[in-house]
Amino acid sequence: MSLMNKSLWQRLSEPKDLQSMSPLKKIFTYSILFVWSFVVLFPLYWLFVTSFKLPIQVSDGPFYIPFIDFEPSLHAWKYIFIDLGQDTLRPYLNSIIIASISTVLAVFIGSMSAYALTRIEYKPKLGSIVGFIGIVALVVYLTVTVGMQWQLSLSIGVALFVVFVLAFSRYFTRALGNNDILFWIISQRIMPPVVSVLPIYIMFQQLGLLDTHFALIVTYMAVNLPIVVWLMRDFFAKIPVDLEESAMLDGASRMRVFLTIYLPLAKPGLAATTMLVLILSWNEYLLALFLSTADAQTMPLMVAAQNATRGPQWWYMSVLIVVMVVPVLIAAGFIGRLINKGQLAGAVKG
Amino acid sequence: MSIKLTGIRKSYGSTEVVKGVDLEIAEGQFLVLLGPSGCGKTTLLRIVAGLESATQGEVYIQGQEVTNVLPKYRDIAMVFQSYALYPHMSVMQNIGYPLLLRKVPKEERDEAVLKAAQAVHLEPYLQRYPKQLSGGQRQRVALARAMVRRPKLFLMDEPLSNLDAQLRSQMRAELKHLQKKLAVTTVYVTHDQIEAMTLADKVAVINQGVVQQLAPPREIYNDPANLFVAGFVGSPRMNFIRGAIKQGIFSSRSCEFLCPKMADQSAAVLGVRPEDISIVAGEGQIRAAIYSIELTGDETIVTCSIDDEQTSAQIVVRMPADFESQIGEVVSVKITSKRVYLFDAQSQLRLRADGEGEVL
Repeated sequence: MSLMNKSLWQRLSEPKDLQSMSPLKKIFTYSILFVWSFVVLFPLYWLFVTSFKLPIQVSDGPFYIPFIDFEPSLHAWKYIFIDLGQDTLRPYLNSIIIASISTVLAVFIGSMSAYALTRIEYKPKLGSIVGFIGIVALVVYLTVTVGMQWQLSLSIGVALFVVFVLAFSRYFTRALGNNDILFWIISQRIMPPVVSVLPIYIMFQQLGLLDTHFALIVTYMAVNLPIVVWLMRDFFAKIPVDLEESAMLDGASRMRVFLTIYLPLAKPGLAATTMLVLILSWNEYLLALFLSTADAQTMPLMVAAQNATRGPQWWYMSVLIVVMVVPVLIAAGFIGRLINKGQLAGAVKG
Repeated sequence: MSIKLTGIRKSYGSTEVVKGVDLEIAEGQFLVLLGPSGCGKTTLLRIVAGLESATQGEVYIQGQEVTNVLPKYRDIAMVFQSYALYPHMSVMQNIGYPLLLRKVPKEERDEAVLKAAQAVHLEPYLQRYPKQLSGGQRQRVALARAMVRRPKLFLMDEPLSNLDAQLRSQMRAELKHLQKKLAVTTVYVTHDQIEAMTLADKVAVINQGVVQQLAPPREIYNDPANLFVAGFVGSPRMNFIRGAIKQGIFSSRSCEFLCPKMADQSAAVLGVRPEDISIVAGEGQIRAAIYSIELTGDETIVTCSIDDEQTSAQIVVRMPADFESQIGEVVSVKITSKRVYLFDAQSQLRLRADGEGEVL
């Protein structure tokens, strides 16, 4: 491709060797990099410094450098870790348990459905789907309005659906495809979460599962599944079909193909997706606010709780946030190592 | 391991790509499916493998119907055009993968892998990864992976088409040697007639989803069943002259040929291979003008234009390397062999006199 044919964006995003640049360009490039690094790193620094300040030092104006500008103090750290003690540790552990388990589940289940949607063609009949929705509505109506016992109405619904599909399915010609299913999956994220948070709350309240790890794990998993499916589908689609067919002829089952061919080859994508989902669950606030009160409280709630009646306690918040950042950094370090290129080189042709 | 296909049809939507194929391959035979791209040969192979399901018809492997059996239960090994090596596994793991899936113990597995690797001269590369190998070496890994578990049936989908010409002929010889040594029934798909002629025990020439002829390579070449087979096999391809047969004489504007045993035919095609005709000084059957002369080294390929029912028809003559002439010179071409074929221009089928092969 000649230089003329490249768009501005292509030319800007091309890798350039810093060594071979003219001094002026070099200075320009480094100054942009410096400014951007500052923008990214300064909040972290400010957070760290604030965690060692006394309330009076926070409110009296900007002090930047410990030991010179101000005398650092451990009072906030002492309060969070010794005075609060268990009350800090519990949300911290909750966060770790809920974020990690929901991430693992979401990534595993999501990758499986992403694989299925890339490699298997589904043709759900439009008529059956409409029938299903109709019967769900009927069951809800029977239970809520008529006051039938849910066990009974559910059995009626299942029976009706089976009869309905057996009787009419051969008249249904319009069918949906994989892309429709994918759109339906992502459509779960189109609606703002605030809209669904109340129904979810009532659901768990009815089940008596409020303020449990289970509720948060299941909800986070469900919320993150669409993201996993959409990201992983793209990575799986890049893997040549020949590999799968070859493995199947070699004697592998679909599950085996998924576990020994697809997952290892999509490792970079898997790592990136895991990281993203982990961070989303780790920082999630709204759902946690509704679904947990004490036992299953997570760190974001704990941080928010420092903005109490006495006004925002910046020093305590800073300590908590510093502590919250650490596991994410560790995870990023581990997972980042898996993100390397060139996984697919040598699979097919030269 | 014998294979039988009966009445195989395959449609994608409204387009039918395989239109009723019956084939039979005896144990240990090397069958080549030969045809132009898009003729349905790969689809047919994938139906045998179980990667694609036939719309109609049955597949039998050793007398057992396997039409709806999953590929993993068919005990078939396949070499893909793309090789389909697992990029995250070393050569050793690649070759051992089919055995790993069959839960073969490690020592036994390593031994089998080593043996298969030796057969294709890959021992020095066992610890490498596919991306560190050349095209020919990848091809060998794919072959070794197919051989390692001693399958009942080899399927090969244009396995040599990604190699350069020299490597291709070398691998062709190795392939033939290995297949004879292992005596495994093989189905091989290619569009390359040289591969088909050199490798096959039997060739099935396929066009537009139909088997045009199923016969040993020699017979395909010497006794083509119809115009398509005659034109597809052979390089340079067979010359065709359009004309008519009347009272035992095939005649067109520039050609007259005696065929006393043949019945009258208003639209016929005469076919003769470039090596069976010659430009002569005396009387010939075809009048032509020289169009181009190409010296290949050991021979000269002469293209001549002739008058035909079609305008601007051409015939190709293979002449000795010392042949010399001028472009535009009018020459007479003589048919020097008994291998002359007549076809019905409408049905494209071979015309035979009283069921006999030769028309002279």
